[in-house]
Amino acid sequence: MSPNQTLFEDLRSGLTGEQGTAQPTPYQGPSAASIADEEIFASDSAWNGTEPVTITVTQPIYDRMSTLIDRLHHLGSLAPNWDSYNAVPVQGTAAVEAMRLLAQILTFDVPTPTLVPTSSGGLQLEWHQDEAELELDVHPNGAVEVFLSMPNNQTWEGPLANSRWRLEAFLRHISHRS
Amino acid sequence: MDGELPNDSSIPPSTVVYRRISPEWYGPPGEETKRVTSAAFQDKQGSLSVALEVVLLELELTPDVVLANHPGYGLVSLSVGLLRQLNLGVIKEPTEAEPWHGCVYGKKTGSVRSRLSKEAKLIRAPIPAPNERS
Repeated sequence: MSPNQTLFEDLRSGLTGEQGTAQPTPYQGPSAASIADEEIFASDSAWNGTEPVTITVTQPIYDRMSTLIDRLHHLGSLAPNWDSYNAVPVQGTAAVEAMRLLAQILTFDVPTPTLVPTSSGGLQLEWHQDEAELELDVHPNGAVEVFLSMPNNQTWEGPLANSRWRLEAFLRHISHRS
Repeated sequence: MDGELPNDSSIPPSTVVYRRISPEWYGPPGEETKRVTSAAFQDKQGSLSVALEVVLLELELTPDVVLANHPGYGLVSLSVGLLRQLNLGVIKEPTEAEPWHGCVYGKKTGSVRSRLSKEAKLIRAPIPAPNERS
């Protein structure tokens, strides 16, 4: 089993190990009037690449993440050059950050995203609903870039740290429609 | 070449480029209505590999040759004119294995990748891996 596969197994067991026992405080978003950018949807510290990973979620969120964990496990098994253009395998740091993001975002009542790999070894989370779209590009080093487009053709892109209120506005938008 | 952005103006804007699409880029998995993700147009080191229609025509080859030895992969086309509208440049970079190989240079921001995914014309749909089929 490759180091990458071991990590993805760890991620799976890290989630299942805590399911049902955790009582986390759901993320409390700011008021709609708050437009100050703050660093949220970010972990307290970056994964160090060696220690086992545990992501604590509630049972309902775990249930919703389950399919995506299976998908992540599949993506973690992709060989080098999986895209036929010399892609590198999905990197562990990207996988950890993607799961942390998902665990927080799914506290909103939003559909589960599509999870796709990027050629550089990152992951992309995508929501497409009618004319609205949100893409979270998780780089191999765990940095996250956001692209969102609203039905009125307003678009925005930039680092996740600068995207808090826009991201929440989008999540509320698709939550109402789901 | 035009300016700082690598671009070969001898490649007509009316022609297209082709890009292979991994089954992982065609989803969502298990759903009937699928789309090509914008991740298919994210480059690794500043350029995106493509096949140039203009060279394929010179060599009297069809786009199917781009998929040779890549079972399960799909193929999309993008107009060279659209790429230039998006401030992207196209050049020839032939390789021994793929004499039709070219590269698309320029910044593929989120909005550019989104536009490319919407404008890409699906020539051959990828075939999902067995464990990803519905």
